[in-house]
Amino acid sequence: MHEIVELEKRWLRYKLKKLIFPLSILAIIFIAALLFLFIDFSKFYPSNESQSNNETVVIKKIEQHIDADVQVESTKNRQPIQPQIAVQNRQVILQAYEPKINLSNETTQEKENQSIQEENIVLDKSLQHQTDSKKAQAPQKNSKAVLNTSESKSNNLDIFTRSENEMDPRMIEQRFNETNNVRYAIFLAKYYYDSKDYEKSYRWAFTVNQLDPISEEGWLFFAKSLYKLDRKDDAVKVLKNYLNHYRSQAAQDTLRQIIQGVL
Amino acid sequence: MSGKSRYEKVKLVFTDSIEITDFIRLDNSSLFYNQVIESIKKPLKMILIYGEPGTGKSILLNKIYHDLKEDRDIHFIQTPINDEKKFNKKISSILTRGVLETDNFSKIIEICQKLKGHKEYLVILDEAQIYSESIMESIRLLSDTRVVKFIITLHKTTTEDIVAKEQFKTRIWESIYLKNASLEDLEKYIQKKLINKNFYEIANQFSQKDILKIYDFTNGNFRETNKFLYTMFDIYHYYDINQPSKINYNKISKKIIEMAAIKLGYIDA
Repeated sequence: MHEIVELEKRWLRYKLKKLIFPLSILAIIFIAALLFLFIDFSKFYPSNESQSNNETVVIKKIEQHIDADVQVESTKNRQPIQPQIAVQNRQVILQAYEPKINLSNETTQEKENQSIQEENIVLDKSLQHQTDSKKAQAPQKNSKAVLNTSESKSNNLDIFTRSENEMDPRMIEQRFNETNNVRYAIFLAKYYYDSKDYEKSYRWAFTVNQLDPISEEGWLFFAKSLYKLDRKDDAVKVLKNYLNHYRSQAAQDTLRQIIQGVL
Repeated sequence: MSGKSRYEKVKLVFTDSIEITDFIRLDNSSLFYNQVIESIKKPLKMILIYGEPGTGKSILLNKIYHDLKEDRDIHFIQTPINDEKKFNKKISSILTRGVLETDNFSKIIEICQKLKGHKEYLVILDEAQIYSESIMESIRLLSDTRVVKFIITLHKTTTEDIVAKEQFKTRIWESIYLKNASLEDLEKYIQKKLINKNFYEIANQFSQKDILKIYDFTNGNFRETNKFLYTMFDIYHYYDINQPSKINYNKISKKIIEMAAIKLGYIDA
């Protein structure tokens, strides 16, 4: 009798053991199905991870174009100006703007006006500096250089534009903070200008001008942002000042649009 | 356990025996039976029946013995005699119809020489692998006289292939290999065993799945199947007396099949 009772217990243990395997398989299938559903939904509602991946791809694209841009600039028309003058100008600008480099604090109108004045001074300084050192160069060549630069950079910006919808500008800001590369600042100026966030566009254009005072894009976005912020006179003043030193068709067009009020 | 249960009798159907009444005619067993009968008719010195334990060798020989004993001088030595003198006495007794019992092998050979051409004895030796080398040599010499024809059964072992042994090589003219039952044969075997003892109701309770499950455990070996079913009906017997509510009397319980398998070590639980 005891033997059969013991046997029944052993049988129960055996059945339990036998059930563990199929139950484990079912559990694995269930978990796999849940994971599959999760992955499926994530296609419709992208997770931070996937967004971050997209941003990384975009940033890589930007970096590639920055490299390409540097190569173009170093091999083409800007080659005579770039290596020495830009560095000198940056030094001048950095000295002039040192106390006001923190953009986030510049929120009042007064500060903006002050910064515009300072920008103009810097522009004058830098452009004067370049003009002095580049007097020997033909005006036509200069103009061509600007146009070429403008073309190549606008190409780059087109690429940025294509990527804009896919990315988070905060990532680009982060990249800018890490690298201090002016192309990120240009991109952000354009991004905020296109997004009609003219305050930010203005600030990033200002940053561009600090880092690269001869950047046509920087001055154009700076002027356009000022115009959009109802500071048409300041915008005109900035562009005229720029055109005093450079022949830029883009700057002339922008100035005409601002004066006519059609921008 | 106390009280009466029909399963007590059912389990006895599957006790291991070589009784002639327990011989079940299946396709394979009928084939082997006819093969042996045909071989006996041939002028062979020796017939070897070999196979794994539990494949029905002994019961087949017993059946042959019972079927032929009326017509032929046939002797069945079921229990191996490992003492040479006793073996010689047994053979001499067979040859002289009990008149002379001698352990002198030369004398036995002499008797054989005298009987040659006049008489032929058929001696069935079960479990021949138990016999010593010297007795096997005596068997070889006796078979050479053509007065005694031996039918011997051997267990097929992996370590020792008896068929390949030198003393058999030249003498065995017929060897029959008995295999385990097929699934279909096993089903017939179980059904027939129960029906022969009038347990029709129990026989009908077995489904194909039950048979397949038992076959998986016993691999169609008759001895293993008998042992399995004996254990299974022993468990039934317990439940029938002590916990009848646990038994479905219309079909064989899968649980009890598995319990029997656990008890016999087929399932490690």
